Parts: sequence; structure tokens; C-alpha cells
Amino acid sequence: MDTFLLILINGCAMGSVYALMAMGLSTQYGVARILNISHGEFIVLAAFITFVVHTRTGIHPLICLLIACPLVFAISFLLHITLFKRVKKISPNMGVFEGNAILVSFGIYFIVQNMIQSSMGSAPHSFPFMMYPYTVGGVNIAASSVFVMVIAAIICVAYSVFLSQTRLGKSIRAAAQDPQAASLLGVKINRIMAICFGIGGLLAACAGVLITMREPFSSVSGIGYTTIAIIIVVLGGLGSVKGAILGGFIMGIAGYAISTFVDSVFMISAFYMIIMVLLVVRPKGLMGR
Amino acid sequence: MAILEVKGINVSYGNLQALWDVSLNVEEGKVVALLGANGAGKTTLLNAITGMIKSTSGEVTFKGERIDSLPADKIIEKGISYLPEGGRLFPEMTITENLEMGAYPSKLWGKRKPDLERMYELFPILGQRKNQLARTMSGGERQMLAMGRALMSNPVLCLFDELSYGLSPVMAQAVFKIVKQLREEGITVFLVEQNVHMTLEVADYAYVIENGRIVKEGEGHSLLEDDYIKQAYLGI
Repeated sequence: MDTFLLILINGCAMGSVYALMAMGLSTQYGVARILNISHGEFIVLAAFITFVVHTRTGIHPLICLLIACPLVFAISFLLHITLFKRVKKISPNMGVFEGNAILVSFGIYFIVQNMIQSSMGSAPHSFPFMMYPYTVGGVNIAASSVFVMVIAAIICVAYSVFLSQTRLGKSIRAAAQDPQAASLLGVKINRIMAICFGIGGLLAACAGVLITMREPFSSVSGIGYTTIAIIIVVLGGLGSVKGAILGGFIMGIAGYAISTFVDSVFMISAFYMIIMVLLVVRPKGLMGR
Repeated sequence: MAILEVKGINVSYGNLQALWDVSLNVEEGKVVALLGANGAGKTTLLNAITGMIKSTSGEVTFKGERIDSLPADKIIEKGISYLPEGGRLFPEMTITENLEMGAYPSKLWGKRKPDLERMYELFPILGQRKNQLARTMSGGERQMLAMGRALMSNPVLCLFDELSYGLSPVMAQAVFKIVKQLREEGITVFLVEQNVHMTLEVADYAYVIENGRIVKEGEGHSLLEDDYIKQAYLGI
């Protein structure tokens, strides 16, 4: 029983970070139509920013959100208005653009990954953070797990409110559902796409900052994060915040269960098993329509 | 006075010419129709008017100003509203959110609240179900919502593409009734339609387009009596 509770809570904590990763990827693909293979590298970039700033200056890792988020947003936004906008211009239609965009994002993945690896090495990095436990139902839970979950939940709620209540958020949803109709109403699609690619980066940065508080990471962790995010987006349904959260929790819990009972090496292959079963049962994803 | 003037528009898709020297005038405060079969060039003309596609020659003026190369938000801010074929609602957004998107241009967004109330009055069915998702509505209700969204910007000219398409005769009547109501309020309506009979009963003036060329024009009721129209479009 205790083991189950532990898996549940740790799984949810990790799952809440996965949800942020997936929401970022989903925003980039759902609106900007870029399946961003380099997504995980920006998570790692934010993690290293947090690591370096926190270990050198002692600033609380959460404060690093204020550095990492604007920075990764700006990098992503600029990548879109310089690189992806050009790729879109030379692609005869959105189908071709999607293919080209994946290739471009592979390029970004290698460049960013190599740069991080050359400056930080490939050893795992971590720092102690809120190591004391809370006791819940007779089980000791790391305070960091609770902290990460709460912060991730706040970010998820803030993002949902942004999407549902603000003019920009509404135009983003409109552009995701029918870009042509949105542009007829005056929505500037290219600008919205660039903003969404930036927001995807911002959410990646949030995930990266939170990851440092939970588990070791290295310059080669990124592609694993990207893979998990892709799996969750497929699982939860594209463009669905609820789907990303639910999918994140499922994968977080499944991941902990597998590393407890089997071996963490099998985590990703187990994720793929889950997704294959799900796609047979519900081809549009949990929340997809 | 003509509020919208289309002068000598030519449009080509690659080697295929879709519009040949199309000219027409839309008089202020009138309902003017453009009739034609599928593929005659009706939607192409609307796209040329709203600048969604580039015409190879010709010009479009609204109140004497050229508009054919303006971005969509500027066209809306000038008072032109375009309802595309099929309504093109946002299926995963609520009725209220869909309406709000009709006031998206920055000059209109801040003033959207009173217009929302106006739409709930004009279309009571929308007011009763503000939080319903567009995808769960029936065809007729969707068309009402699409009209509401187009009216949110307080337009002086409405461009309606295939308002009655796919609607039951009863719903189509209801939709045309609203068109008449708009005319009474002084709003100019440019209707693009396949439903010749119903349209000509409402329209003050109509143009008939075939293979990208205007082949006939005249007052609505007189076209209803026209032998060619009767034979080719009304089947009598």
C-alpha cells in the first residue's frame, strides 16, 4: 500500500512536469504546425540555467523562472520569425511545411544539444532541494515533490486562464481550430504562430526549471523529454490542456511504477506500449475529438 | 450611390482564368445578390474583394477608397464584414467566444460587450446558450451564429457567402428574414447565393455569373420573370 501511495504521489509530481512539456509541444504543433524535435533541448537549457544560477548565487531555483522563461521565449520567437517563417514562405502548402519544419527542428536540436554538451559536459547534474519529507498517510514524501506539483498546477491554471480569457488566448485557439477563418476576422496568423512557438518555449523553460528540483538531468536528457512530450500529446489529444495534464499524470505514474517494479531503462518502451494500446481503443487520444 | 464598386476584376489560378473582367456595383442600403452555380467564380470574387487573393487587374473600392490590398483587420475596421461559405465557426469555442472573435480587430475589441448584448437580442437562441460549444449546434443555429459573428463589428456592408447552403427551407427563410431586417436597419448586404428563387425575392438587384463572367443583371423581381433565368436556374 505504501509503495502504491509513493508511486502515485511521485508519479503525479513528475507527471505535472511532463504535462508542462506536453503543453509546450502541443502549442507549437497545434498552432505553428511545427513538431519541434528540439523541444527537449530548451527544457535542458532552462535546467542548466537554473543549475548554474542557483549553485553560483544561491538564488532560489524558482526565481530562475524569471530568467529562463523570457530567455527561451525570446529564442523560440526569434527562431520562428527568422527561420520557420522563411521555411513557411518557401513551402507550397502546410503539409510540406510540416515536413520541412521537422527537419529544421532536428537541426536546431543538434546545434543546441552540442552547444550545451560542449560547455557543460555529459555528466548528470543535480543539487539538493527541499530534501526533508512530509508524512502523508504513513508515507514519507519529499517536500520537493509537493512543491513542484503546486508550482506546475499554478502554471497550468494560469495558462488555461490565458487561453480562455484573454484576447490573445482566444485568437490562439481560433487560429488552432481554423486558421483561415481566423485570418478573415483579422487575426495575423504569422504573428500568432511566432507567439505560439515562443509560448511553447516558455512552457519548456518552466518544465526545465522544475525538473532541476526533482531529478538529475544532463546535456543528453533532452531527446528523452521530447519523446515523452510527443507521446503525451498523442495520448491526451492535440491542443488539449486537459489531455496534456491527464496524459502527463498517466505517464508520470506509469514511469514510477515501471522504475519501481521493473527497471527505469524500460520506461520509454513501456510508454510506447501504453500509447499503442490507447490508439487502438481511442484513436483521437483521451481528450481529442 | 454605390458603396462598393468592383471594376474590371481579372483573377487567374495559374493558367486557369477564374474571373473575366468582372464589374459590379453595390448600392448603399440595398440587398444586392450575385447568383451562379458551383464553380462559376462567386467565392473567388469575394476573395478578390476582401484581398484574400490577388487579382491580376482591376480594382475594388469601398466608399471611393481602394480596399483590395488591405489586410483583413483594416477591412473589418472600415465596416466590411465577410461571412465565408459554411460559416467557418470555431467548433471548440463557445457561442459567446465565437461572437467575440467577430470583434477581434483592436479598435473593436474594447467595445464588444454592448454588441454581444445586441446579438443576443437579435438571435435569442444564442443568448439562451452562451456557453454552448459551436460544434454541438444544428446547421441553422450555426448559420445564425455565423451571422451574429459577422455583425459584431457593426458593419455597414455585409458580404454573405452561401447563407442558405445546406439549410432546410424553413431555416433558409429565417436567414433571409434577417437579411431583410438588416436592410431595414440601413445595412448594405451583398449576397452570394445558389438559391436563386429565395434570393431574388429578397434582393433589390442581382448579377448572374457564369464561367467567371457576369452574364446578366437586373432588379430582383424582374429577374424572377426573366425567361433565361427561369429556364437555366428555376427550371420552369
